[in-house]
Amino acid sequence: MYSPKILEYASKTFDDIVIPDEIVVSEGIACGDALVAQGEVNGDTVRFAIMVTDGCLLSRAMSTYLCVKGSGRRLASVRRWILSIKEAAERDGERMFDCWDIPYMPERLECLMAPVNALVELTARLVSRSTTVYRMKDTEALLDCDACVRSSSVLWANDTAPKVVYEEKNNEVSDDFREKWCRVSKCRLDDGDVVLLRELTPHVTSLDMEYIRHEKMAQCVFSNMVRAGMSDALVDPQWKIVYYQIHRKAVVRREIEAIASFVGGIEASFIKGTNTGALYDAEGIFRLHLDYDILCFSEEAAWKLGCFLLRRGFLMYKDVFSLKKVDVRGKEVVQGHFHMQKILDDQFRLVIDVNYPGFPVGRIGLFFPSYDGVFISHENQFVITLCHTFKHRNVYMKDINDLYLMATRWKMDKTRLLTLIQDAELGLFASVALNYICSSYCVSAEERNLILSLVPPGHEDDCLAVKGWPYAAQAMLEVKRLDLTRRKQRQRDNPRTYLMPLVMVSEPITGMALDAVVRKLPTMRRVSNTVAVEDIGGVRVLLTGMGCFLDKQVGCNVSVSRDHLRTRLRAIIEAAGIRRELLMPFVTAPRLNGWFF
Amino acid sequence: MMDSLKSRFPVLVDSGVHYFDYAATTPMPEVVMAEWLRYQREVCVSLGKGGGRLSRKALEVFESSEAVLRSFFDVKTEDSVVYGKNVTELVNVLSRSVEDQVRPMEAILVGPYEHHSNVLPWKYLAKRKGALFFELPTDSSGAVDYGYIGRIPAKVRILAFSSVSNSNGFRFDIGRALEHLPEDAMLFEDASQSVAHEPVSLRERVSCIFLSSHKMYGPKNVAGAVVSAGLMERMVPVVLGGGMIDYHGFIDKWKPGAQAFMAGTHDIGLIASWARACRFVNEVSYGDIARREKAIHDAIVGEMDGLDCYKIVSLDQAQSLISFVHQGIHAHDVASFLSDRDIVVRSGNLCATGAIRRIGIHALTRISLGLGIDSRDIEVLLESLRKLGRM
Repeated sequence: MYSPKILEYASKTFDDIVIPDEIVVSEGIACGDALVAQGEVNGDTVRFAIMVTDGCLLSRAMSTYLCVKGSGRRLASVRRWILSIKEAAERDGERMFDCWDIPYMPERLECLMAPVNALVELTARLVSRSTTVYRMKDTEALLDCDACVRSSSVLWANDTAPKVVYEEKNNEVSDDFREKWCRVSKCRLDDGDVVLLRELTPHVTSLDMEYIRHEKMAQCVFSNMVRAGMSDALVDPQWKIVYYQIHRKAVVRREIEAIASFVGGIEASFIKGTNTGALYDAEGIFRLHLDYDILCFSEEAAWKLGCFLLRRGFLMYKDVFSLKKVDVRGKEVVQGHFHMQKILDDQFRLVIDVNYPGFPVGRIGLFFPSYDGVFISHENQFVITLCHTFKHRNVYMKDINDLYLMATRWKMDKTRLLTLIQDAELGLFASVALNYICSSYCVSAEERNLILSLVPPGHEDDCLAVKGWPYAAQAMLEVKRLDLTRRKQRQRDNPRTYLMPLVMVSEPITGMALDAVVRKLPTMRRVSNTVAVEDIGGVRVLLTGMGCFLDKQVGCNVSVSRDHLRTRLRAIIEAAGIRRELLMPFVTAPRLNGWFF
Repeated sequence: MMDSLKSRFPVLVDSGVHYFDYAATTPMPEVVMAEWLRYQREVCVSLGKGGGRLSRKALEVFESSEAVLRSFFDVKTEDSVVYGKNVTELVNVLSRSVEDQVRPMEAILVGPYEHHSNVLPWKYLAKRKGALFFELPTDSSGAVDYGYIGRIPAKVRILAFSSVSNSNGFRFDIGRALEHLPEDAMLFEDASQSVAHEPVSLRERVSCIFLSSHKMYGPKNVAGAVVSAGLMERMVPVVLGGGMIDYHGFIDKWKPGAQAFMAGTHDIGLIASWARACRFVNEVSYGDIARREKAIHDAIVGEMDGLDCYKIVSLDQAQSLISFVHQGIHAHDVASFLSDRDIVVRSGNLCATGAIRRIGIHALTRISLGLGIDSRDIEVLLESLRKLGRM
């Protein structure tokens, strides 16, 4: 069917590991060839690989040809070379086919050009690239969630790209401003709240909208406007974003169903919004979320899930993979957290937020819900949400709404729930959150009794220690500081390790493979059942069940040679016996540029 | 297998290809081509261009051809037929002509497995009008959640859908959609993939149905939209020029009804030729077409089912097309392999990127069926599929 030249290049493997500065993902609109080009620049030399993830032999042959002929040359020279190929093809498409000794097939020109175009874009990006450097956030002072910080980029040896320091937006608002929006974000409004809603919402400014979106309140305010019959105000195009968030929830359903089916077969469970959504549906409120949270009860389950997601086209969100050693009753447990992302229909971002083997309580605690192999009980779900309410710097009103609806709509074993709250030492959090609900949610006497009965004995007055929660930023800080001070009496706050994906695999690396690595490579040592680490010259590479990762924290202080890293990765891959076809072509997720509308 | 009608299609006989791309274009039978040629020989001119004999003859041919089309598509007297060069153009024209009916933050919906031609015009209409644009979501089995239409917290103004999808043969269930649509929603149905296989007409509550001539053995460069009287009243012409205006002055006055959409010179020969294609389909009959296609469909699917390498992604309800992926060979290479054996199929995205992604793939190969397929074509196709299966 094709020439020997096509067959030769299409079957040749260009077996290179690229630790990319830039990634270009291309999906031909007419041809349907899907490919990825990734490149790194060391000094003035470019190293690149073009992987055809789903494509025809022409596209594969051209990809390999470009890699063989171009990778390892000077970036400027590769740029000139690829532009000349593109221009020649535009002038005379037939010549492209002559070069490959195949008859001219105009309808297949795009198959040959897709890799060329991808390399044109990749080299353009590499020429103008810059490295974003994040300032290390002092999460200890602010008690912000230390799993959510952007960790700094790795300092690569011979990296000539200009550095751009990322300036985080100052989202600070006054407590009064926060209070008014929090009040109208509750799922239960009193008459005064409705009056406030009617005052606020017809004049939403872009800054208001940015704030309520950032704080995940927009959906709650929107729902309350719908319930209050404020359809005129909803004509404001600023609310479009919520309509599309509602639509996204419907679109991602097909993916969530497939994931749920897999999750049902491993030691894992959906937590938070996925479970509480039905409570909102019954109230006529939209409960929307970008992230779908899954708790895995073991490292192994987390790797299985991660690999499954990779196979389904998810990619790792490069800023959010971290490990932290947590003392749990004198035993050291490695807690992990990562995000995987997939773009559906080229528009809708779906994030799977994975925690294992327990759910974080503040900075240094872990909650281990009981799991019957299928479900996490309502009582345990309640505790997880209670933990999350105090996880981030500010309180999300959706968490308080969840607590209110869970407490009043779910049938729960009160004694069991109180025991769970007490065992996890969450009395303070329960007191603060549940007393706030009783004072602000327009609850009936019956609901009030029910809600307050969930505050463990002895903690009834804990809430009095903080004033102004959840509106005052200082109040949140005080609650968390109080909790941390108590926990620190028994536990240490270990540093968190932030990881950058280097190589990931579509099937989990087994414990046996890890044994083999540790046996063959004396530089590797095991840190847990499924994680081994190699620390050479201050550069730490971790091998997990999902693949190899670089400790970014070390990498931003020490200059890391990518050539050296590549050598180590090859050695690890070989020692682990990882087959080439299991290596995922690329692993970090691109960002969406925003909505079409 | 029934007697083949291949001899009726000169291009199939002369080229010698084994043609399985009827969903893209159906070849024209000799009689349909002859009709166009006859018009050019005997009439040539268009409507309303001068008062001569030829012009009057053009009007007669137009009226008699439209009568055939109206009868074939069961068009009610009060409804209108708007002509264009193809369905893509007509969807664009119609979506612009109803622009004033759409208000900001109203919702425009399209089906889940649509061709780009039934997505982009509506998407950009939404953008121009500040409206919301949604493609109907599916679940993990690919089924449509019709109830979603009723759960959208915005007023649904337009629903556009294909009666049958060109990518996987999905049939849109208009009855279930109507359960959730507001009374005043406008419904636009693209029947391009149905016209060659089953009777189609403007159904109750549907505002407009798009009909493709070149997908039902008629000529290219002509298509029609049957527009309900209710919608026609509210439509504004978008292609302005000669032939569509009654009075030109300070305030212009458009011609009534569909005439306001007949700007410029039209090839009446194409409409006559399309009408002849309708008569050709009637002569064969939809019942016979369905029987023929089912027999071919079952023969091909039966063969493919026996070969592990093929995964059929079209739905069981699709009898006129078979979309598939080969587990080890990319769709383009499958198409090239078949092309080397003079077998014409379609591969890639089929101009329906969203639909293909929703199916969960990047590209597929589509075999589509029609009246020119004979037993030799099937034999060659099956033998080639078997060979591909061994690769």
